[in-house]
Amino acid sequence: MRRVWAICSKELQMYFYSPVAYVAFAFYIVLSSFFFYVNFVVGQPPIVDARYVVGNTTFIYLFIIPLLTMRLVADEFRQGTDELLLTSPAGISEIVLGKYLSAFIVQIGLVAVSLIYPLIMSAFGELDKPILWLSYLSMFLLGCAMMAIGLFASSLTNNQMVAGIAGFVILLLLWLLDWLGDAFGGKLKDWIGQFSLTSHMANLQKGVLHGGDIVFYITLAAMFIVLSIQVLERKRWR
Amino acid sequence: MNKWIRGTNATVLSIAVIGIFIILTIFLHSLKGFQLDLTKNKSYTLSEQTVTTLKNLNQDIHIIAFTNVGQSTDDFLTKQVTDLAEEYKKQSSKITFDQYDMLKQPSMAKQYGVDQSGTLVFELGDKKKNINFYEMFNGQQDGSYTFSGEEKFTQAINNLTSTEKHVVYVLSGHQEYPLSAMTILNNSLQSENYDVKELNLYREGEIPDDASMLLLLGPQNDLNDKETELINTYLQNKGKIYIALGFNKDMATKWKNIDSIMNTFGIQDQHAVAIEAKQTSLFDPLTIIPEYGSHDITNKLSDYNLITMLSLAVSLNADESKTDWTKSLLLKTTDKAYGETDINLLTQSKTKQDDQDIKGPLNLGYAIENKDKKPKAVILGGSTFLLDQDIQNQGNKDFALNSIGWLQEQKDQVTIRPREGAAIQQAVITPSQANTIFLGTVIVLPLLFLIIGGIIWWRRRRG
Repeated sequence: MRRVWAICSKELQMYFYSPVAYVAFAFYIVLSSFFFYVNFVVGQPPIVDARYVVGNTTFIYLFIIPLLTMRLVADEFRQGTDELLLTSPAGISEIVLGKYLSAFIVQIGLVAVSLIYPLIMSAFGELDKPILWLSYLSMFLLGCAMMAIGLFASSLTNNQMVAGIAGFVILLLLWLLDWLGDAFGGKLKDWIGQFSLTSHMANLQKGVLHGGDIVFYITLAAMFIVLSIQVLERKRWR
Repeated sequence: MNKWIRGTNATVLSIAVIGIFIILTIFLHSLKGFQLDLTKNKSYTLSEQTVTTLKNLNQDIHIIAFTNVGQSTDDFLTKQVTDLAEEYKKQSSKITFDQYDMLKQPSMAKQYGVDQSGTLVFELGDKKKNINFYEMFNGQQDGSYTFSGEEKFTQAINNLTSTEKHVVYVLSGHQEYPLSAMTILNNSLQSENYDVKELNLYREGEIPDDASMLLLLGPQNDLNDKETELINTYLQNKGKIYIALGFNKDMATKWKNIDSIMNTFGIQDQHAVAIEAKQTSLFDPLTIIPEYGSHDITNKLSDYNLITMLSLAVSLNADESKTDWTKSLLLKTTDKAYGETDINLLTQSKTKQDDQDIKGPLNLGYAIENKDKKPKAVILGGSTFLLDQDIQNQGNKDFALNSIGWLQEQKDQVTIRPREGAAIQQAVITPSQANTIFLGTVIVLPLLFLIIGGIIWWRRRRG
């Protein structure tokens, strides 16, 4: 655990000592603020409901999360530090978990920043608290799963750009499963839809805590973390 | 060799993990009831009536929403409707739900004869029932609106699946409440497959053969002898009656015939108006929140803690010597209440308990069964709870519909019906507030992050 934490804090330093993270955060805030403004202020009538924020913010994740995760493992390969890392006393699982933990903490930051929108809304009317918190929980869980996917993409290649694009493509595919299901209709639509990244947010955003939805995001994240470990494991023995 | 084994291991493990994920997702998806509704009004916990309806559903129902994606208000309404449809689908495997965009798939709309976006079609075989989204949203005075989708959904399903229709006649000609003052009751009855008609016995001269029940709601004048004769003959046969008395200052002297009909069942009108001495800031002494007796009509209401509110209710008494009828007490006041017999004093808004008055607890409603345990009559001392302005309060509507459902031996209609959703909150934003929001969120906040990033970059470059 100490090694996991050491790797995590090193990663966090890399995030926050480089201007890239701040540019990414600023980009994220500009976009989500703009969507919020258009929906809440320009959209008529303005409806005091946190769910409007969530839908748009999670859409921005699709672009921002590959940006934030692409560096995680790929950069080690590029700089040649992977050899150092892979031969260090820390196990591969610890390395991957440490890197994921840093992404997880960044995700908490992303969600926390967007709490400013419901805060503004609450000045104009009373928000339905369970809907607000469950919507934000859905946003957080989705982000955590997406971070794991980004981490996996980053472990595939030694080029940051390729990692970013690969992450985006995987996320986009999982994101569009819903839409793909619609094209088929009927039972097949239901079957495909349950694997979609966004379909499990619906219940939480309604204010309904459904165990299956939460487990879905956790297992999705866990699956990609294990896959990342396996990819690195293979690299070590090659 | 070692390398090869380790490589295979990694591949097998990866495939296993993916397999576990897929199986777990499918398994958890199949667990429908594994959820906790945390919304304020329990908006996504379907009511008892809906759950029963869906449980008894043995035919496939296809729900189709025709929408027009992209209009902000409409989107909000659409979301509420489609979320609810998904909840129905979750509850019953007989329900399928599809949504079509009117603009992208006009041929589907044409096939269903829908020409307006925001239309929901319920389809059972050849039978169809359309509901416009706007019918499910009730406007409030402050400009917001509440969602009554569940009621409409369940009614549509009931209408499609039910084959029987009961005709009930509301008596008129004695200054009863007109149907126009009870539109909510009327609509609810119609959607539970009752045909509600007005009947003026003066004009018609007979009670139609298809009458499955007579309703006498809030009469101000007595029935005449001929009418009473017709009603008595009807009741001696298969007829059923629902009486909800209305207050009138001359009730003690002029309600001879109404009293005699009630007397047939052993119910006596005490000609006293119930006064509840225990006042609250919400209610005046004439508004009574009765306690429920134990009966099919009221059991579920007391389980759910839903109260019925009557005002200007007349106290009743059962004559236990008439053993032909089983009289079950439905509503009674607390023992602190009393029945004011001096109506003239009451009309001048002066009332004080004296020796003449009837001591509480007062009985305000009875359900009557014949010797064969068949429902025959419901007699209530008050009727204001049926009016449009009162019926939406608390359990009033359920009490009204349950008692009619019980009288008609409709077991699944003695239940708790869907509540309305919470009102949608709308904000009023002034132009200056809009500017502040724009400046604060779109400009200042991101700039702040850029500046922090810039400072760190600059310091590190120097350092």
